[in-house]
Amino acid sequence: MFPSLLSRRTLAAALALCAALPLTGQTQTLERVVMAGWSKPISEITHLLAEPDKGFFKAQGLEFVYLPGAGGGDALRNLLSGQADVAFTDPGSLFAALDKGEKLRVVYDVYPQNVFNVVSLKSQNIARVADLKGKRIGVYSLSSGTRQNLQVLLHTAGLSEQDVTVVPTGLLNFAPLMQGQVDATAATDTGLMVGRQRGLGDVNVMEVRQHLNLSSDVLVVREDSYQKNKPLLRRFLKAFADSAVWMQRQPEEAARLAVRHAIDGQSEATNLEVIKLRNASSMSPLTQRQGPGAIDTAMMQRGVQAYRAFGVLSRDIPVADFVATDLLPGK
Amino acid sequence: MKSEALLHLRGVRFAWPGGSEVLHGIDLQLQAGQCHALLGRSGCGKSSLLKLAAGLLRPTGGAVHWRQQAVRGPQADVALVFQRPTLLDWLSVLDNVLLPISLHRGVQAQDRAYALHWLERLGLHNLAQRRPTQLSGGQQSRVAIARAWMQRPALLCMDEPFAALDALTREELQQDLLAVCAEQGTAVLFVTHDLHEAAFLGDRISLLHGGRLGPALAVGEPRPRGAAWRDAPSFHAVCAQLRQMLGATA
Amino acid sequence: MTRLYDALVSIALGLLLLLGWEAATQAWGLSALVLPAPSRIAQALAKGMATGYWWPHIGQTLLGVVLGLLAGSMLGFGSGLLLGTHPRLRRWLTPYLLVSQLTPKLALAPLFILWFGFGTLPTVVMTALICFFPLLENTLAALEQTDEQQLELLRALGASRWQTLWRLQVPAGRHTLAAGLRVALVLAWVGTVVSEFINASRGLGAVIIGAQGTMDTALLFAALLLIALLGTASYGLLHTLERRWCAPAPTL
Repeated sequence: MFPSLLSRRTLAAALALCAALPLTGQTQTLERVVMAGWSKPISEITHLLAEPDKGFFKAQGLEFVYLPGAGGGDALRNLLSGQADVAFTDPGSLFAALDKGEKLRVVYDVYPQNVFNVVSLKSQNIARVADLKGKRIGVYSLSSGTRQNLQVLLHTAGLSEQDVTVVPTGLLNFAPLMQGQVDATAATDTGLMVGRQRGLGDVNVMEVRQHLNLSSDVLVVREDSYQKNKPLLRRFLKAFADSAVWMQRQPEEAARLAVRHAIDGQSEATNLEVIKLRNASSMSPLTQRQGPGAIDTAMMQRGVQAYRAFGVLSRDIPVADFVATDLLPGK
Repeated sequence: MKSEALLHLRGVRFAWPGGSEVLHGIDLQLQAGQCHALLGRSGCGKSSLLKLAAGLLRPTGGAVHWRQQAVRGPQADVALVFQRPTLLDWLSVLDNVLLPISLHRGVQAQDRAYALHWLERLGLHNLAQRRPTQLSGGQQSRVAIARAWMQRPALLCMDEPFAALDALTREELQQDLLAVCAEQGTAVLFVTHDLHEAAFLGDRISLLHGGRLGPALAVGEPRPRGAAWRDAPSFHAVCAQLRQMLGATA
Repeated sequence: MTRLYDALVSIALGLLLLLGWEAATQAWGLSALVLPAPSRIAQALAKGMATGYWWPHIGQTLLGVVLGLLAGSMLGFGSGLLLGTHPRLRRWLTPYLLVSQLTPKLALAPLFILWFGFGTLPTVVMTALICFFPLLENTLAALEQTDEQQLELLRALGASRWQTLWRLQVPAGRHTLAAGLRVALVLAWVGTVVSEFINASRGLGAVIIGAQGTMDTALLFAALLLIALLGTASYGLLHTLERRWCAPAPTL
């Protein structure tokens, strides 16, 4: 008799406790923020993909949703159509959109370091940008960042696309290079790393960074969003910065989580290399001084000039019109 | 009349591959210019017998001889007329008639003239450039017959060629056939399930039943046989005999 | 008279759709980069025409479609004749043909650069591969369809195997073959354009990808419009040719 009474009471108490548990902690509903990216969920953005485990956005009262894309243009189109609130995109796509009259704001610099390069076999003796004249250069696709940054690089030596032959090579950037079907290939730091792993051999690497260090990716919002949702965006950027800093400090943990969350994350060792590269590209002297996401407006202006030179921008756009630094989280 | 038979089937047996025997030893002789009608119910093997005679099928037993030579395949001077006209709808009527020629050599002006002659002879002179789908059933049957005549055959093997036509057209075509055969001296092996047709056309009529050929009935009526003969008592007598023979097989 | 009426109704519907689209773009303030208004697309199209921008790209894509279609359909037809007349060969090869039919060939497009280099060749090969199967299948079907009695007729007339094939089976199956060619033409457009997405620096597919990169959605739509127009025109041309050569005469 005693055991049965006891067990019924305990059961009732246990049930009551179970019912009460969900009510604790969730005193406010989370606000949804959709970020449109330029890629599928890849290991480079593990700090965002690991949100279910790390909860940086949740800590700011936000529900983070990632919208994959196929290129920076895709991310911006998703932003402009209202599908997304923030776009993770590249300056080239941004400038093209601005030129078409779209009202956009850059609110955070994700990778202040330019990660693009042009790689050639040592035997080709392409040491300076000017040596690229008249050569066949592979790009990932005609709409990719590799093509745009190739144009930036050519511009710094006074050349343009007309002086070279641009050839889309698709996913297998380095195979055509190794087979001699192209003289040089426009790629990224992570692409080069993977290429080296696959036996690329001795190459000359020209980094765009050495000539014009225009950011690789930035966060962009619509102008009306910027004017109306500043508090929300501030919280978002704080969470973004926190997640990026975590990945900088705990790359091994991030590499481990990438195996689960990233579509290309099968090898933990490769994940670690990629994450280290991205960590390096998200840091600059400016971010050391002003905190993560700090925007180099002077460099942005030079970017505008360069893109004017090869025709993406048809007019000059004052940086103040499309850059905002007041939402940055600071140090 | 030649003493040696033009077509000679000796003890011919036939079974479809994987099936039971359909013909259990057929003996048949055909002289030049003779018309032999094969009468029988549907499905008794008449068509197979015709194809054996024409060289389209090989007997599983016995022998088929054409002009005293063993038959190994279709002969150039044996023409077949099938149940359905089987015209090629992308060719004109004229080209259909010329098919036996065009398959083996270039078509000359005289071939064309000969083909047109046959079309005229069969009452189709305006239709040379039409397509088969523009003709009536009776007209299509006539084109098939014209095609057979192009081969200048010594033997015409006909498999119920008028079965799908109305009675009047059938009688006309039977008339035509007799007239032309008389002109050309062509022998005819004619398969039918219609005893009136067999009686009208045949010099000899055999009944095919149970895979065997019954004794041939000789029809005495001399050639040419006119339409009027159909109403004569001698015709009815032949038909009565045939009916009795058929009835005995029920 | 009814045909004219039908055509007018069709055009009217199209115009209504365009007007609605134009109005919606204005009313909803849609960004031109997301969904451009028909007027903008027309502008992009006209500007390209005026500067002669479109011609090299149209030429390149047409080249891919025509060469690929010709190569693929001739190979498919020839293989169909071969396999249709040699049943053992067909039995041996069928599993491999099936597997290659089921794998999406466009997935191999990036590898084509390695195997065939750049330029027109990888696109023509891709298009030919895609056109091959409809013609192969339809040729096989056409050969199987031949009327038994017609086959017997030709045998009775002493026709050789080759004559039976060429004088009977192929003409008899012309409608099935024509249908296969129509399907192949449509697929040729898809194959060429998508192959250009991946491999090409010239052609309407390349223009589309380039337009994505420069955020010029109006240009993208203009290219799509050109593809639609050219595709429809080529289909109509093929259909007219078929009518001329293949149709049976009207029955009484």
